[in-house]
Amino acid sequence: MRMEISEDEVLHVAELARIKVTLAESREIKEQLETIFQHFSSLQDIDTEAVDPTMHISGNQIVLDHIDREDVNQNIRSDLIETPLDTEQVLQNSPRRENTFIRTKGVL
Amino acid sequence: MAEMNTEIQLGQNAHTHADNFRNGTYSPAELLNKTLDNLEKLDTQLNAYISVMRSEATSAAERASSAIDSGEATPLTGIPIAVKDLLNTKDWKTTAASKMLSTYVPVEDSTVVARLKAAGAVLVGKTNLDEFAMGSSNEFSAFGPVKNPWDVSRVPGGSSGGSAVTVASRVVPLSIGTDTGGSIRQPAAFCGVLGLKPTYGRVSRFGVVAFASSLDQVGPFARDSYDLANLLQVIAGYDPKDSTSSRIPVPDFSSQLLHGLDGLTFGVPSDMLSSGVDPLVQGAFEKSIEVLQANGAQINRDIQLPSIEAALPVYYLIAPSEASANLARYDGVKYGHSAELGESAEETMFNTRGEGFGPEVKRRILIGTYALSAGYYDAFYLKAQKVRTVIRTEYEEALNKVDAILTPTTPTPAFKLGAKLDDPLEMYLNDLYTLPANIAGLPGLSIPGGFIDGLPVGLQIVGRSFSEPTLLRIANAYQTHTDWHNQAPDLSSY
Repeated sequence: MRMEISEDEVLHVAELARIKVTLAESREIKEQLETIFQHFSSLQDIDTEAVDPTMHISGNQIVLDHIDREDVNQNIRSDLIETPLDTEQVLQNSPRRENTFIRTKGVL
Repeated sequence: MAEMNTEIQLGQNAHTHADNFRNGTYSPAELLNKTLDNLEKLDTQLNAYISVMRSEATSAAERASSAIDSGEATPLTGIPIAVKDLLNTKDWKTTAASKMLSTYVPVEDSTVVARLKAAGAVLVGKTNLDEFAMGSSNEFSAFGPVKNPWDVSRVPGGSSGGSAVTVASRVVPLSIGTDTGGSIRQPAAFCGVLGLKPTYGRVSRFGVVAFASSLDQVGPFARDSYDLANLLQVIAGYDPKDSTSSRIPVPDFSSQLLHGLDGLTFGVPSDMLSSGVDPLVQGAFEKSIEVLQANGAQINRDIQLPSIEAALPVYYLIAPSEASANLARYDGVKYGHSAELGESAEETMFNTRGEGFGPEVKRRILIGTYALSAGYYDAFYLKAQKVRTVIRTEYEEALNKVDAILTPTTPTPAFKLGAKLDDPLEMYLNDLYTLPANIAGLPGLSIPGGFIDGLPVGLQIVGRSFSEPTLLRIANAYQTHTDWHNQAPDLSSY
């Protein structure tokens, strides 16, 4: 089975990913995505009818059989008040700022 | 004092330097000076570093001397170390080898860097990598490719290419990398050093630029098992700032190094080695097995990993999907590269991401976005997560029968620069043997396992979760009976 991805689909995916791609880039990406997803379609041959997806890897590990699953999942730090970063630190990497604000074009 | 300097050999391992500091043979500052001179000389050829922390390192070396004088030294005190430029360093540029972060200066240290500093290690610089750790050749860096010290026309592997190269070229004895699908083990194999991807959760990921969060893990490079154990000891352990880090107590990693191979059984998966492996790599691998067998290990060639070929599609669906979500944060507003302001905020964002990301990062974001998009989620992403369970279960069953699984680390030795640049799938196939450990969350260690036409190859050991002491024990036994790890590339012409 030949996997086909249209150029429109590539442009749609680029739109979803908020990445500007040129027409030349989209043609190249289309061919690469087709080859890659063609290869990936071999996954359909594996029977997963009765298999749950692995949604996260922590707590699934072999050694944990003897450890209470609850302990593993309650890996949450204590809710303590700590010293936050100061405003200058938070803003020091922003590309455009005015006083203590970050400048952007209007979003609404 | 002058003649003391002549005793400094950069090819020494960290534990030898530590002995020499303690005995007063030379000081951390003397070692650092020689290290930095050598680093700058070699890096004109190798391009292993994105930035060199000359003055910070000098101060750290002075502090290390005081700690040694007052008897407060740890095994890492005064030891020069390099860190992949994916780990945040407070007040020091952290670029992820991307135009997107080329001017980014973190306000905090990553937990691993903070622990290294607290242990007295001397950070000499930030190493080159594939952009956002996406790549297997270190050719996808916005700062240019890293070269393999064994043959500069070849790749060092990736994504932690710079970290592997700087240890292999004897600039520093230790370095830190990250491994999402083989990014520590594959360059370790291509460069002839040890590289460990710890169990998922063993080392904190706080302050590490995220690629694929269910697969990413930080780990050490070194040239022998003692150094690897000492470095892992410092970076391992629970971190309240990373909820995926494990509360399982950290063992003494060097305690079992001398236990030998008696009583250990290793599995060799025939499914995995049936196709695609270079016959010379296969030959080196069989010789390594003979060494282990001759020294007390049992070999079981009947373990089954029937779904192993699915590791590649599973990985290259899950990792880009997670990456497409993780990299959504680069919007040109809060930090990082920003395009000229366009007509709208949205246009600025499109341009920012179009300009800031390189070709491989764009490709992976698009693969991930496609796999997660309406209509394809069940067929690709969800299917991959289910097959991930299948692969994990097969490893679990195999590791109930054996103590560790052995394979070559890579199907071939280091390939030529440019050889796979235009064929993403061919590049991805290079990771076939390393991907399953990330998929299953298991620890994997690559150790020098021979040479083919002057190029190193790696022996990979994958163990049960949190079995790092066993992996280090196997490495130590193997290194006692082989000399591969002591061979150094000839860099005298640089």
